[in-house]
Amino acid sequence: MDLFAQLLVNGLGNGSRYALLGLGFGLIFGTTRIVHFAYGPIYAVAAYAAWLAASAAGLPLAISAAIGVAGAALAGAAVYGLAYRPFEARGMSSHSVLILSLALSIVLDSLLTLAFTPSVQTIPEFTAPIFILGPVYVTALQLGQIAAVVAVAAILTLFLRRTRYGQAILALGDNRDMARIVGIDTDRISLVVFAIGSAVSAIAAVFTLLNEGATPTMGFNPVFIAFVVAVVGGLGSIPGAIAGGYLVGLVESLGLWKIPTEWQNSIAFVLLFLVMLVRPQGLFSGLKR
Amino acid sequence: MTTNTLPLQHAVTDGAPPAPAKAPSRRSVASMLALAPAMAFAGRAYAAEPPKDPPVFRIGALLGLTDKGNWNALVMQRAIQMAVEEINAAGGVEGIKVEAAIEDHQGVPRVGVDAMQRLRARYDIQAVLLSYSAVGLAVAPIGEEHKIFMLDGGSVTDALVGPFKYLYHNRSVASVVARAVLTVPKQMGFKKMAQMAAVTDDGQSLIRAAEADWKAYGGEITATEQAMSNASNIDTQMAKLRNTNADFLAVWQFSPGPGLVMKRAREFGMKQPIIGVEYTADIGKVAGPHSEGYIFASDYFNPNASDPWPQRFAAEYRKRFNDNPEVYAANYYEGIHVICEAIKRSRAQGGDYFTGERIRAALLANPKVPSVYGGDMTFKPDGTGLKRVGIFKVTNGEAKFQNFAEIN
Amino acid sequence: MSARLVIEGLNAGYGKKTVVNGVDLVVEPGEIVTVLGHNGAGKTTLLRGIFGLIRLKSGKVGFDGRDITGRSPSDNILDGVALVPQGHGIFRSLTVQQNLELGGFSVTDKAVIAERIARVFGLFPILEERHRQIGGTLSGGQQQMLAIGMALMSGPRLLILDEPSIGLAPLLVERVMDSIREINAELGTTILLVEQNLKQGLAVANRAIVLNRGTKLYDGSPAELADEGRLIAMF
Repeated sequence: MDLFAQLLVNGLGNGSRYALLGLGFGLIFGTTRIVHFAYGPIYAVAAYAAWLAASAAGLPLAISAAIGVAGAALAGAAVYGLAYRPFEARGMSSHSVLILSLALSIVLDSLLTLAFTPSVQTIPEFTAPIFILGPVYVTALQLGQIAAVVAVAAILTLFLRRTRYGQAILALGDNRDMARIVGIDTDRISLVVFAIGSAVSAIAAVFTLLNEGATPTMGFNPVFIAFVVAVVGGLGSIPGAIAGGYLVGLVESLGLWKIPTEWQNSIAFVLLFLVMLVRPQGLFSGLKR
Repeated sequence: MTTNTLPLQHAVTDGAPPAPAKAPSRRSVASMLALAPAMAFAGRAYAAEPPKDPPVFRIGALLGLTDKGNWNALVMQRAIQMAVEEINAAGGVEGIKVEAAIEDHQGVPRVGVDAMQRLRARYDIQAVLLSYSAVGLAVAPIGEEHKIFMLDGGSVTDALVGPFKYLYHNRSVASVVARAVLTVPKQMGFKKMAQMAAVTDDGQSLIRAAEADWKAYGGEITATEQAMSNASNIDTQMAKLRNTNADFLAVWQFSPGPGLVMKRAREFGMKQPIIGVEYTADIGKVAGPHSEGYIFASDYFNPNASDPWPQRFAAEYRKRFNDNPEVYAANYYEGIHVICEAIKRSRAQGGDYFTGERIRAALLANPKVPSVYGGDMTFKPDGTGLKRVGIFKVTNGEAKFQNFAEIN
Repeated sequence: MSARLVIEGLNAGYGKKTVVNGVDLVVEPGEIVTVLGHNGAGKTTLLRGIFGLIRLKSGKVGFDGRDITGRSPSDNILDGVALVPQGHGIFRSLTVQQNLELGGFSVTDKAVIAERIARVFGLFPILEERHRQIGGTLSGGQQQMLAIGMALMSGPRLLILDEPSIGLAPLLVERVMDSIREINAELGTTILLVEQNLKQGLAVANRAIVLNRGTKLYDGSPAELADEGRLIAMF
């Protein structure tokens, strides 16, 4: 029972990170229909930006985290504006854009490796306080991750429902043609979506930096997790991404209780496969916002 | 490269081209047949033929320069270049310069194979330094087939020991380091071990060696958990390990894995001693203060040893790189020197001496070579170099030598 | 404020294919003009080309004395042109209320938005009843009313409709055509519409245009076209 409780807490902590990843990726894909593989390197950019701010510039942690998030938002918008948008303007198919995003992902990974070397970078001065609740150990970072998901979900929901840009994003995700017809500047909205989606993933990246450190290829796995979570939850759905994230996190954590841990990487994909068999539109599709 | 067999009559002149061989008489055939066994036992009589000097001694190296555990690869690269420059500054090997041809295997076996083929195609490489077990396993058959002398100063897997006669090791392998580090919990009277390993050849090799040794001792293994070598989420594994209440935790992983294991273990409230087989700057970074008390076994490189060579090497390394040398630096620096020493010995026999086969033959004839660890290193018949393994403990982020491991 | 639409030599298509071939067209302020033709005659392409959804290969579009050739839909909306696209163009996952608000995306004054929503509800009371309902769950006819309502939110002087009767039962088609007449009569909105339904399309129009394979075959009185023999000769 003690082990179960610890695994549950771990699952919630990791699930929060996965939910953030799914939220960002799902927002981007749900609105622009672009499978944004370069989401991975931009996740790494966030971590490195925060690391540079904290280590090289010696800034306080909160400010460094904010810089990480801002850095990712800018990088995400730049990738859309400088790469995806010109491709789309030329009438390239979505498959071409997919290949472009893969290529970008590889190029950006290599650039990051050149810039920062493959060695891991950490913020040595930071150690997360640990709380003991009975048999369960919870780190401040795990609690922080859960709080972050709640905050991001609330802010994002309010933003989408109550602001002009939010409404425009919903419209674009629903019907791109109609969005243009009612006079929405779809390019600008897509830029904003890429910025927001990248910023959301950046929050997860900063937690990763504090938990394990930053490496140039740290974004590789998160893209797949983000994809699985977004699809399992229902593309473009906020409650879906959150449910999907926690489901993946909990299944991974509790699932490995009895299954040999070498299967860790496979679990998320097995779950994806099962959901696709039973409910291909995802858990929450149809009940979007 | 072909081997040379020369008729006995052939004599070295003053550099003039050799006279063409005449058809042997019956007496000379008889004397040849009589002496043939002696020739075989004494090694081939190449001394008669002048050495066929290449313009440069090119030594290959396959390193994981862009692999996540690459911190070691950068160190290896530095050490190789330092050795090459040192040797050339002293006039090269018998007056001939040495060059290193370094290729990146990225930690991926397939890429390592391509890199090895490139070295062969471009330079007809005769000697290569290897690193990383998975790559070594992929590349060794190629070296074996083409008789390329291979020296591995980084891999630890036992799977590389035995099947390849052209593959030598100057790092202590899994069966040695695992047993070495397990002497510590044995001394503490512990009986219950929990282990965390990487899903790699090295990791599996360490588990095999550790389990055999620990069970023979009468100990119990309470849990074995595994993770991919680049896994960032090992929470479930750590929670399960904690749950088994072992006396100590053994970490059969390489940089930077052990750092995260230590961190998580302490964050989850595990207080038991943690032991392992490696400690690097990356591990220290990730573990942070949780590295305190970590015990590991490693080839004992002591920069403060009384022997002149280790001291000179350490001083020069510190001067160049502003860093203390450790196992990887020592092994790859030494690797270049070992190969150069073997080339020198091979050259003394004359003929077409710069071949993988002749280099290996030179070491078979005399397996003792000077070691940067101090004194000499002796290669066993299976190709592994006998070195002393030290036990280290991490205090304030730094590894401090405790004692030599007494392995039975 | 002359909402006069002038199209000169409009050529438009997709890729190398030209679907509209040198069409000239004038729609006078306050007119209801119906464009008729087969599938593939270029009707939708013509409308989308006028509204700026596709790039023209050549030709000019003028509105209200200004050259609006190649301008973006958002610019055209600001100039007083709105489009009701083919196939009940609405945001299916959003509510009726949200759809209407988005229809008025170009309008920043909240009071104006509220006033226009009220006007749409006046035109289509069923939308007011169901203003909280998700658009995708409305019936076909209700969705079409919503689509028209959305276009009206920007207060257009020229309303372009692409096959508003498609997929609707006859009674609903009548309802939609009635609302088009109402919009034209009460708001003074100029209407350019494309219709497959010949009878209704001719009945609502002041003038009829026939397109065949991208060229204009006829431009004149709907009554004359109502003669079946003439129609058959066209198609």
